[in-house]
Order: sequence, then C-alpha cells, then structure tokens
Amino acid sequence: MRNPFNQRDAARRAPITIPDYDIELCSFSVKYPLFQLEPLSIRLTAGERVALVGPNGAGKTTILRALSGSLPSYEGEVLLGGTDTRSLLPGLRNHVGVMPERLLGFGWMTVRQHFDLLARFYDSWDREYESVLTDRLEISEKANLGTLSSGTRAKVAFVSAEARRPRVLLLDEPTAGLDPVMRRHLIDVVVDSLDEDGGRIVLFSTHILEDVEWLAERVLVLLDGALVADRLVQHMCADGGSLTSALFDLLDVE
Amino acid sequence: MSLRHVANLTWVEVLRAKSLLGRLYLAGAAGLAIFFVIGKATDENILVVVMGVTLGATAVIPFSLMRDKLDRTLEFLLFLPVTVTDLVAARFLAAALGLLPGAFATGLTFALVAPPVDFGPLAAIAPFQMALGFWVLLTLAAWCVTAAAACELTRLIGWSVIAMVVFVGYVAPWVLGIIEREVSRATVQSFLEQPYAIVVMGAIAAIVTVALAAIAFGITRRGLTGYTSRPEKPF
Repeated sequence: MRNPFNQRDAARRAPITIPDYDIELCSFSVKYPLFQLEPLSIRLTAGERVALVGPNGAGKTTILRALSGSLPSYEGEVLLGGTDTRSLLPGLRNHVGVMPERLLGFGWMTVRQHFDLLARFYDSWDREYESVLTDRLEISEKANLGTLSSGTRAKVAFVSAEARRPRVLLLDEPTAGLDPVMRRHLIDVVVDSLDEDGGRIVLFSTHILEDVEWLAERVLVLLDGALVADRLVQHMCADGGSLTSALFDLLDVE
Repeated sequence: MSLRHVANLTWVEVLRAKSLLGRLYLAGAAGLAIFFVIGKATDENILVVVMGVTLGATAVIPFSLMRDKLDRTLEFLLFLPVTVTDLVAARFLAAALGLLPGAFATGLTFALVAPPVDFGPLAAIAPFQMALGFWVLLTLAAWCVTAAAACELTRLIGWSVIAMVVFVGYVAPWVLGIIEREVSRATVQSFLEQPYAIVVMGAIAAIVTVALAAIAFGITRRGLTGYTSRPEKPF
C-alpha cells in the first residue's frame, strides 16, 4: 500500500490526497523525574473534536507533543492510521498541525515572512486559505512576530497550524490569555474551518471549560498523570446539569 | 536528507546571520579606515583587524544556535517537516558561507602585506591557498563550536572535556615536540619542494577535515535529536 506520509512523495509536490485517519495512543506512558504519565490508551476517530482537560502538570501537553512527533522518548505506541508516528517523521508534520501554547517563530520576521517561510516547507500550504484566515482574523501581515499582542500571537499560531489543512489539528490551550470576545472569535473561526471538512481530528487542551462546550464533542480528563474520564459532552450534560459542574465532579473540585 | 529543505533552511540561516555578519564586517572596515586616517595602517594592524573580524565571524552560527535554544526558535525549526540532518547540514553550510568573505579578505591581505611573523617554508604557500586553508580551518572551528552549542553543557562536562584537556595539554605538545626534534626545517623545506608534497599535504588535510567535520556533524545531530525545550526529561 502506498504510504501517503512518504517524504519522497511529498517532495514531488504533487497534490496530496490524504485519507482520514484514526489516531491511537497504545499503553502510552512517560516518566519524568518529578512526574509520571500512567499508561493510557486512547483512540480518536476521524472527524472527532476532543478536549483534554485537567490541572497544570496533568500531562495534557505531553500527549499533544507525542502526537505531533516532538516527544523524544516515551513508552508504548502512538499510531496514525495504524502506523507508528516515529516511523512517519518528518513527513508526519505535513499532516499534523500544531498550535503551541506560545507562538513559535523568529521575532524579527513579519507575519508575512513567517507565513512565506512556512509555505516553503509545507507541501500542502494553501495560500488562498491562508489569506482567508488572516482576513477573517484581522491579522496585520506587516507587524513583526516579536511585537504582536498575545491575542494576535494566538491568531498567527492558529493560521500557522491550519493553513495547510492538516488531517490532525492539535491546539495547546488555544485561547489562554485572550479576552472573552477574542476567544469566541477564534473558536468560531476554528469551528467554521473544521465544518468545511468533517473528516479531520481536533484535539485541544484547555483550562477554560466554556471552550469545551463551544468546540468539543468528547472530553478526556487527566488528573495527576492518569486518564480519569473519557466522556461524550452530550452524555455529561444528559441529566440536565452543566458541563462545568460535571467536570468539577470528575476533577473532585469542591 | 532533502536538498530542497536544506536550501530553504540555509536561506533562513543566512538571512538571520547576515545582519550580525554585516555589522561585524562593517566594524572591521571602520577599524581599517581609522588606522588609515590616524596613519597607523601598518601591515600588522591590517592583518590583526582582518583576521580578528574573520575569527569573530566564526562564532556567529554557534551563537545563533544558542539563541535558538533561549528563544525557543529551535523548537520551531524542529516542528517543521524536516529531518535533524537537514537542520545540521543547513547550519554547517551557512557557517561555511558566512566565513567566505572574511577568509578571502585574509588571503588577499596576506598577498598585499608582508606577514609580521616568519612562516618559514610555509611562506611559499600562495595567498589563495592560504585563504582556502584559513577558510577550511575556521569553518571546522565554527562546526566544532556549533557541535558544542548543540549539546547540553552538563553533558559536555564529562569524558569529552577530559579528553580535550588531555589532548590539548599533553598529547598535542608531545607530538609537536617530537616533530620539532626529529624534523629539521631543511627537511620540511626539501619535502615541500617535492612534486608530491602538495598531494600528501592535501590528503592529510582532507582526511583530518572530513573526520573532524563528520564528528562535529554527528555530535550536533545527536544534540538536536535529544533536544527538548521543556525542563522535564524522561529518566
């Protein structure tokens, strides 16, 4: 079977048609000197929008890093379409978009130069789509990355991850530090982008439970490095209670 | 390794280094101008300025790697769909390119001014070859410092530092002492006059260069592969 992640194929710059894939963590665990992520197994199917919720240091970012192929070592397997992601690097990154909690890039570059730089590396970078997103998010392309406000940084980070329409979109606290209006605006753009193509997986970590209501259909709750719940949002609110109180119950918050 | 990615990454590195290198070379030019204006443009002063600026340029690429770690731009580069080999190759290429102007300015200076020290039989080497040799030497130095910058300092302090101290402090002086005792200046002179001398010297230089380059490349690659910006490290 043809491997769509093959870098040599990608280098030909032919239009790439990527089928929808499931992603899977099998007995995944990490040991740090002061923290241990207990072995966990999760399967995310194509089209799912999943929230990772939990206190600081629960292991949310570690899971996102593993899925993006940027965790140097771990136990267990991380599979994309049944293939170990470690064997898919670096071509994997063409299909997994990451919005880190802090915008990564060169501070001296303008937003325009930053996008141009990314377009040089990603075969599937869509200039038109990038333009649509920057217009909608009202991003000034002339500003230097180093001088952007935290809101604009988040928007630029989102466009950087999304403009190539990755099959898997990983958002690490996408709305942290944003005011409520900007938060809603960004989430709306994320939702609209995903609605255009229903087969993509979105996994995002957040501390803001409103974001979970707006964006997620499934919630994974992490506590002290262990997965304590894996629920559908509609089931959590089935008894008429709020999602916030249901999550607080799971996190054992008085 | 993807040539397209290496070319793109090299372009990024050159773009980043150009302002620092430009300022460095401009400072050198200003230094020379001052020496000429105050009438102290001696051969020694000109050589010191040109070689000093070029030596400074050796640190630009390793410095950019250290800044990458501080600014988390290394994490950004590692997120790109490129291999670590692409990243290292681009950095090494950029270091070599950045040193070209300084190295050849040095060669030109050697051709124009009388060297302040006696190079003995080596004075017979033409300025172009001198510049080429200087460029290779500085490029190797830049690559070795880049390799050190790619690793964590705590990991460097260990067997590698001990080995370096032993080599620089004991082995190298011992070997040089033997050469000085056993090989007379006349022998060197007569060797250099042989038609095969250039081939032998070229071969030795090439072997040492390739070996050092390969070691520096391997260390840099290893350093970047294990790099994580987050403090938590697996056991």
